[in-house]
Amino acid sequence: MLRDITLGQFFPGNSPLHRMDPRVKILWTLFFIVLLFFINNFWGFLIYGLFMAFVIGISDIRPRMIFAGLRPILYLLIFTALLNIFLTGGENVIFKLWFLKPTWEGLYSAGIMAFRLIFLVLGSSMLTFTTSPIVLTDGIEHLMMPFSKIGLPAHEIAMMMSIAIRFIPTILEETDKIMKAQTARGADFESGNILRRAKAMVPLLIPLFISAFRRADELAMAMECRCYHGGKGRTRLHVLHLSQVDYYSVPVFMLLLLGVILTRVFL
Amino acid sequence: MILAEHLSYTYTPGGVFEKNAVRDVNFTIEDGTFCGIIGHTGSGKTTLVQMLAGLVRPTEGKVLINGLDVHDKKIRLNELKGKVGLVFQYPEYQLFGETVLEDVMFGPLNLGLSEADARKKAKAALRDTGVDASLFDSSPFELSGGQKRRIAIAGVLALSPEILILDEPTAGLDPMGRDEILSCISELHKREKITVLLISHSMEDMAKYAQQILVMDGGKLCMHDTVENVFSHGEKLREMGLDVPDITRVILSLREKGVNISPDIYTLSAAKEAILRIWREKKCSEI
Repeated sequence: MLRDITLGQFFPGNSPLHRMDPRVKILWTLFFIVLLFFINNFWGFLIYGLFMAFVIGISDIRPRMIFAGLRPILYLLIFTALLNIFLTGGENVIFKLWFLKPTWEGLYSAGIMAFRLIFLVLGSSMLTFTTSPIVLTDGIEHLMMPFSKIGLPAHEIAMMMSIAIRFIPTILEETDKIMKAQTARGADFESGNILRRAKAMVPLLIPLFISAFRRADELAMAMECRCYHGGKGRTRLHVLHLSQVDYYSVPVFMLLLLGVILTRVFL
Repeated sequence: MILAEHLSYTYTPGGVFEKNAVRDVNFTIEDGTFCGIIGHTGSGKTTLVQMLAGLVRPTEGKVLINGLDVHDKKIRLNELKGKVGLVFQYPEYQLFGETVLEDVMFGPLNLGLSEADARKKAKAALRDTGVDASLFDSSPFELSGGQKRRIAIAGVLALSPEILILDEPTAGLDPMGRDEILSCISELHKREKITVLLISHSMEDMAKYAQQILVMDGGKLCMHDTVENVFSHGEKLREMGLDVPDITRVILSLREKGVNISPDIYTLSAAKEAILRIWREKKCSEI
């Protein structure tokens, strides 16, 4: 039941996208997201759509998996679209019902908003789909390095992130197990009103918290036993370096930029 | 009676990580049987017992307990509620109560018993697992690993299940704690005539307590027979990464040396008697 979450999952593979340097991939993802907010008409989204199709095409990941990642934001999408349709002021009212006055302008901005959200999720999930969490945090650490000059603990933040990511499946498994164990003792997590359900969570949450603290303790101890002392003077097993794919990605993204600029200027 | 029909379970069917945990398992276990389940790590034992307890829905097949389908939600929440008790691996990680007694009372209270009745059941279950009354009001988190384990097992026993399933209840305990826990379960089995299913990696425990053994290998049920018959297939067990009890190995090598001793000896006491008998016969013939 808890295993159906695809957002933020990693699918191992050997596509050009998988081979790309994580630093480059993170920067391009940021670029992709920022550029997304400069689009102001549907031609821009058409270009984004074509680009996305290209990226998905070379990624070796089944499109079904990618679109499954959109399911969790479905309600958010509908909600923002409705807000936009009904609350955007404008001249061209579609129909009037009591105080509701949906406008064509609202419909237009709802469409823009929905596409933005969809591409936002698709773009960022392409990053996590093709980059293993360890490599991803490695990349983040590198990108944060310049800020360590002004006192940002880049290595520590990256280490905390990779540990947190590492423990997601473990904690999910633990939750599943404790839930089953308490169900076997007659606990009921599924029926009753909100208050009853919240109360039913106590036998689940207490063991979960205790085991999280126990694991943290044990991990800290194990790290100290192996002489971990933070990032200073630490060398790496896998040194990141740029490859051909990373150079090839530059013209591709420049084309995307050019396309978006053209749609803004001419259409 | 537990009846398993064509039980199969597949993890993430259709996905990249598809894995058949349990494949087409069929068996019947009569009421009041003490049945052991052995198998190599990853052979599907845990998934199997979770299906028997109705916690995991099989991909195919069904489990009938006294003719009732375990996976029918209505039946599970009514007729079968509390009938099947499952003690998980490392059950002490599921403790949550403020006091020992409160934690053990959780089960009976869920069954709809009154506070007083639940307290009575909890106290009886704690006594059965050998927890001292002086500990009833202390926090379960302050106690030792072995004591926590007993309390967690008592938490399941307090439901008074007709079928008790234990998934490696003695993993990580010292030999004394292991014997104490298993003998209290064996005693309960004899006194209350409940059905017990015990997963264990210890062939000695199997020989000592079980009447029947289910042998799992690669998700399939390989053997379901009496202890004697299962342990007479030593070669086959070893192929699956299992073994016969240590004492049986001793007896078998004695036989190889030409000693005329029965091969169906699985417990220390039986071995002692057989060897002493041969010793006496030998002495008599010398005189």
